[in-house]
Amino acid sequence: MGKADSNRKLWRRALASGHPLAVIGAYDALSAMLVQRAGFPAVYIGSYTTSAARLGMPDVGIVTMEEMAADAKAIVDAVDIPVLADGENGWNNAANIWRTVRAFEQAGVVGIHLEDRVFGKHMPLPSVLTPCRDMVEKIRAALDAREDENFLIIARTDAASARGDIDDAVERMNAYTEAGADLVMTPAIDLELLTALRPRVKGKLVIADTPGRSVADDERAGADVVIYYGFTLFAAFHGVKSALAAFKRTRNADEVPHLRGSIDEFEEFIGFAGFAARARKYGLG
Amino acid sequence: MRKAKNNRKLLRRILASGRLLVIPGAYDPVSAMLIARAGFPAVYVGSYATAATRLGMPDVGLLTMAEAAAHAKAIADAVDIPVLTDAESGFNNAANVWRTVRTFEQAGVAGIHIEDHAFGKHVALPQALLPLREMVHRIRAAVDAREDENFLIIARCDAAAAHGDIDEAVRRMNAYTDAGADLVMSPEIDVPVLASMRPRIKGKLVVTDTPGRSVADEEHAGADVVIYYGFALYAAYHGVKSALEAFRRTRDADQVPHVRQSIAEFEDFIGFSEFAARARKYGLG
Repeated sequence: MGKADSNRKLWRRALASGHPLAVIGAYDALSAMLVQRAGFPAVYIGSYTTSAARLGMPDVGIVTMEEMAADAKAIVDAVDIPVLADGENGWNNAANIWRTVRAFEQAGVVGIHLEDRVFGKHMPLPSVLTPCRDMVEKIRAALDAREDENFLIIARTDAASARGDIDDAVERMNAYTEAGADLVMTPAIDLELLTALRPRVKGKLVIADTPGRSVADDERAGADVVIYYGFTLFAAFHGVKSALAAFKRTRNADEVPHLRGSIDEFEEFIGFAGFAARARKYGLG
Repeated sequence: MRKAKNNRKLLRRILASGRLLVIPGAYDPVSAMLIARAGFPAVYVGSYATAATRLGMPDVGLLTMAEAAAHAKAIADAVDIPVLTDAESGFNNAANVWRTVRTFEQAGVAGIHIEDHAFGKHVALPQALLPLREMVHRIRAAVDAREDENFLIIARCDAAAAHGDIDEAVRRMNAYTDAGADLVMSPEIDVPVLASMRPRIKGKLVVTDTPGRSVADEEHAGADVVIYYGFALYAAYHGVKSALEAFRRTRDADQVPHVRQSIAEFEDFIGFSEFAARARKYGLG
């Protein structure tokens, strides 16, 4: 776990630097490696992309804790930069949440966010939030459970995104910070609301990216971390869809842009040469 | 397992129809669903794409049988069309290959290919093939092990791809057919070579796609099935890489083509509205 320990320290230093961190969501080990190669400082793994890429399902609470932790571990193993993971609502109550924290810590991620949303994400359905008091206990239990003090517990409130209730969002985030959360998070929030709410929020603030805004916009509004949770998934979705449509039409893969032209570059990137070198070194070639 | 049984029958009917079957490779459930939606009749899951996306590793024999089968199951669960899968060299000798066959059958795929390549795939190292006699036993054992008689056992011979030895490839493929293989496979051979050896091969022939060749070229040369094993993977690789580079440069996701513009289409595709309908039907909305 040398990599995990040093990445947790690295991440804390990066947060302390005062520059906003754009953390890009990966949906598998390969996309995480591309995030790293593009020069981003950290990778995010969220239930939105894992539900899709692992199960082919929407992000509606169907991914299990084990599935998320296993996917997070695969991504951690594939990159050298810090990986931040989505711990959903912890999958457990305050008495059992220790197991969730332990599983993600063992997966080698630098931290997880835990949310107070119980039902209705991404949906025009009535949203249900965990009462603030229960969520505070969950955060306390999660903090107690970590073995590495540098493992980040991020407390996420959906009061603003689910109900547009800014006062409740501020009250909850500050209560979570007082309970010991390392950072707080409010996803999917409008820029004006974010600007208005920011001065009232104690501590570092994590948000999710929103169409219509640049990193500079989010920085000006006071975000410390911006999670681009769906970025690589949307890019892959469009890329695969377009390539298949072109192939279906032409029945000639040479006429599909950037497909066969990417083979050599891909094979170099994924590390065939490293295997050949090991084989020769150890008498297999 | 009703879907699996029906799909195995369907795949056999398509093969019997004499139509060339073009099977694009998926790397995860989303890419498999896109292949189904694009109108292709089947999906392929190979170790090349699975090693890259699940492990971030090259396809050099690192992927375990359990990992390959779990990935194939996730894809078979996500689509309605038949899924054809790569079972490498069977991961086991003839006495134990029954477990591989049973595992992939239970994963719900329509069939597997088992190869005689023992070492050196995709790299410039000395190539090793299993002795013919050993491979014949492995095929016999695999055929004996299946529970559903419609589960396809495809015997893959790498003599042509690895050594350029056409006579040996023909001899081996015919021996595998005599041992009970449902189809034979000869990957990575160019169209003129394929055309020259095709008349000497008994039974249906599976090939892999070759840069510079169209579906019509492959059909004229006598292929019955063409597997485009890296298709979705290369498209995703290029799409994700380009999007990340554009974001790194602009720091504004609105300026990255086809990322945020794909969100609504993706969410419609992945099935959020079906969840909302279930929630309303069962008193959660």
